[in-house]
Amino acid sequence: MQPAGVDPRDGKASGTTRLGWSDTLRILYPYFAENLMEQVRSVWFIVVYLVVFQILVLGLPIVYATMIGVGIVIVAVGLMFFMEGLRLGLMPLGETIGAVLPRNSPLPVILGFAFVLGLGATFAEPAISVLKAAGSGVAPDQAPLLFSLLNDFSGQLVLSVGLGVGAAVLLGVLRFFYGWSLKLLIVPGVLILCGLTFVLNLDPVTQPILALAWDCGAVTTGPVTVPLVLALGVGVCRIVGSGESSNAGFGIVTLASLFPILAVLLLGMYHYQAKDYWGAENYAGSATVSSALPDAEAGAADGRSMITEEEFARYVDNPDALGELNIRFEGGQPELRDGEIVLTDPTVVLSRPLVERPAMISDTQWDGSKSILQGLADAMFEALRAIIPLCLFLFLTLRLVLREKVQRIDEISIGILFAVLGMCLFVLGISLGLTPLGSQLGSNVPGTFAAITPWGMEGQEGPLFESDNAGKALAALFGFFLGYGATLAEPALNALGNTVEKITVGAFKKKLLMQSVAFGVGLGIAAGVCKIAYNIPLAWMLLPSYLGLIVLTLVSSEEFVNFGWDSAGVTTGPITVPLVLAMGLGIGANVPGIIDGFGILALASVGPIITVLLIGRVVAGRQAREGTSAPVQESP
Amino acid sequence: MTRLITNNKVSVVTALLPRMSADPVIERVFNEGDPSVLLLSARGTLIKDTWYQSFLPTISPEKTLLQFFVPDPEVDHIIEEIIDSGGIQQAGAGAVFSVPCLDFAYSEDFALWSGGQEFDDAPDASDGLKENLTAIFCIVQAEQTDVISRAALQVGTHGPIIHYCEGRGLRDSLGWLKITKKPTKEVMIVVVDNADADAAVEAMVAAGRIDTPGRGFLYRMPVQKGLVSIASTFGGRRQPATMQQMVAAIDGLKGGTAWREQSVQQGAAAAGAGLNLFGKLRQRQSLDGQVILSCVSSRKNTETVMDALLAAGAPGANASQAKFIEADAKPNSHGVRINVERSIIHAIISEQQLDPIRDALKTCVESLEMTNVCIYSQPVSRAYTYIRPAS
Repeated sequence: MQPAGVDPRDGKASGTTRLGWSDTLRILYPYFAENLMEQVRSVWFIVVYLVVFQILVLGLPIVYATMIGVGIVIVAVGLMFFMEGLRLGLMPLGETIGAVLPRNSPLPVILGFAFVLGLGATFAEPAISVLKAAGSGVAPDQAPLLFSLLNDFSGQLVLSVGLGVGAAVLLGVLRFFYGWSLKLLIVPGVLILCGLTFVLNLDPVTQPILALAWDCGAVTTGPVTVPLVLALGVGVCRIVGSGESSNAGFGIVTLASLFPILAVLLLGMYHYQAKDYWGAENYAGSATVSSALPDAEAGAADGRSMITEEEFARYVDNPDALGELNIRFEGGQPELRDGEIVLTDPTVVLSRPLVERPAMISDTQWDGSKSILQGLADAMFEALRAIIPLCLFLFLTLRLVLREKVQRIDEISIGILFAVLGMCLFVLGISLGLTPLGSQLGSNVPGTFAAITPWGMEGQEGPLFESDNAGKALAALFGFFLGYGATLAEPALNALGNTVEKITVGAFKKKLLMQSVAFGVGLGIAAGVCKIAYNIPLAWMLLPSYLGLIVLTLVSSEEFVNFGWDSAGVTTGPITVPLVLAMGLGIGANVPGIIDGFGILALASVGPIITVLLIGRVVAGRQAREGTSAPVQESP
Repeated sequence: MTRLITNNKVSVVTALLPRMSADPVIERVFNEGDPSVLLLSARGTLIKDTWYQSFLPTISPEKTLLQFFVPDPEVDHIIEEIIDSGGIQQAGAGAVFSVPCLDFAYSEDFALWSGGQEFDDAPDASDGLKENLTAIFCIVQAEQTDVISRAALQVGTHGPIIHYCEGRGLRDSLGWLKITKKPTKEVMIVVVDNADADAAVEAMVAAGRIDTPGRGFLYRMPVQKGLVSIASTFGGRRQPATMQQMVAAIDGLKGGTAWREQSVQQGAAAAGAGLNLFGKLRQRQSLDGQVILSCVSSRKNTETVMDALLAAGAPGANASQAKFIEADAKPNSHGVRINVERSIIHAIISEQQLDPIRDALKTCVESLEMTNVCIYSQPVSRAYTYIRPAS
């Protein structure tokens, strides 16, 4: 234990103590053990849940089990370093700037800084690869405008998202100065978005880009940007206002989620007007229609395993080659002969039965195409790109523009080092562990309501339920817990929770925020699964929820509006997104008419706003009932 | 060279308020002439006393701690204004108390109210004001506050008001290894009647095991004048009157608080905390003859001031960050004030150390030409921490 603020009176003077190796280890060991355990606590739920669901509910083995296990350990270690890096390095840096900037600079400088920060953050953590993955199945003839945005105009897409985030940070900082209520920005903003969504939903060409736009809003804010922007807000909070406006530091993340939606919708409308998307008059791109859906999926629907030409040749050579086959008789003339029914001239159909449940543990332990060294190099590059330019920008602003000395430079340097190391390991661990686990489970989940070929395996697996609806309900339930568990492990949400707890001096506990957000994300993802499973247009789900949210926002206290809307922006991060996308694509592939995996993320953002605001209402109601003349009652 | 002006007739008036009522109080005091206030965010205490409450979201009430530097002649008047604008007479609305400074030195640019206005018609209705209060401050690790709060509530104090501070001590001697220790600690503030103070201190020291090594620090300060109406109920929430209202009613009937002293002596309240005392509080070793030396400085000088304090022989120091709101910094056209950040640095030292340490600090402040500084000391009636046995 470290002594409290005032030293225990053992007379030790200040100054650096020389510590031996054993003492150093004695200090470091509990530090790492505690922090690692904290991350293990946040990750275990999603991992255990995925494994249990795959093995016990779906009855399928885990493919690449060793690789996934190693990957998950790396994720936990990476998260440990990354979170400590945030605490020691990135957040103090952002906080210092936030606390110095508003007083020492003219407004244009501040706004310029905010805009560049937002723009830079988008390029540092580009979400475009994620969106491309979600749109990988988009065929140009089905959704020409969406296809063009993702392929021909992907540069413009990133730029417009960047401009959106830049404008959002700018407006968010401007808000601190004028003390605007966040409601004042949210309500008109959401109304405009809803209006645009409604209009674009009417045209079959523009309709598919809606999901892309709303998802853009959800994925733009990454694990480095969010803590930095939050810290900036905390810093501003430390000096601006007196009593009631003490939550002014929040809200940037919210705006950074709303503005990119608008930017992408506008970009889409521009190209719609200019008619230069795929297939339109002015199209300049070169993409051609690829072939139809792959054959493997074609026979899946009725629960058979297709026999190929090559297998047929083997059968002709040797009737036993394919093992036991199901025999069915079709056609023929039934007649009653000597008290028996006799079919004359029937067609005998031989089909291969569904494979029995495969072994619990797959033979394949490691994906040969993945090497740790190559993965490490890629992850390091990604981590450096996400963290170093932003930190350099903040540092230079602090030194050159604000001319402020950086306090505790040693701690901050160690923190940034930790953040880079942590993010590198984290990205590596996700690609080795969580993504393979999530994507195999994601593509296996439709097995609850359709016959599928299990991921990475041969043969067919039948639907788990006879009833289509029961299967889809189970898939939605799966989606709920997937969202819940993945959200608890999200680093950006952890950072938000810490920030909220810090700003309210522990009044609003991190755990409460995380649980309510995770619950909300779970609900949102369950809704998203239903959207894809039943092919409901996204607008039909988004419009009512956002309109309801506006009402809820208007009646909620400013404080909860800040927390709630910000938590929506941070929920969809590096852990949730790959898991959810894999599931969305997997389910989409088994439902006729679905072309992409978009939309689940957008719904996952709505959920937490609703739950956090509702909790705010519940608490406010309780306090109002208990309180007498006092605004709040001390103890119940 | 910074010149420090000495003015020993200054009191520190502290107000503990719900966040919502801070603004009107600040405006009112500014109107009365005080040019500045230090504002700290704090939280109240919410105890879950039934099992099902642990499943419900609990959000502790947010509080604000305001600290005014007021010239002695104005103290009564300012306290009246704070009580009036913050509605502190009402149960659960907050607390206000003043502690006089032993000495007070400040730099010229520090926005201190020289006071001097005479209020002929100043209301002397100090009816509700109590002069027999004790303020208890307890600095501990964040994890311990819940346990200590519960113990304090059980002996009948109000729910402690808690704010953050950063401590100095072991952490700084670790070099780069200091990253392994979180610097943030929590300061719990409880203001109680003198009659209840011994029981409250005993309960808090026992619950937090303050007297074992490295656990924390607790000190009491005599309050000159104050009013506390922070709710102190503990138990069923369907009672028609809060415990505090009932106690206040009995106070009124008995014409004082003497009856409470008796009940404490009988050990009733202390027994509630699980302390089997039977009439006599266990004699705990405490530090007597201490004073608290405080310094308000700009945030970037925090480390320098703390280093100076430690170098001059203070056994430890802690700093809290506060918003320094000046009446001059008028709200901009949209009603938002852009303030500055100040650190309040405290060190508890013995009376003998006071003069040399204060002089060393003043020398440091003057030679480094710090601006916006004030240095003051206040009496501490008793302090508790781990006391190394004399060997």
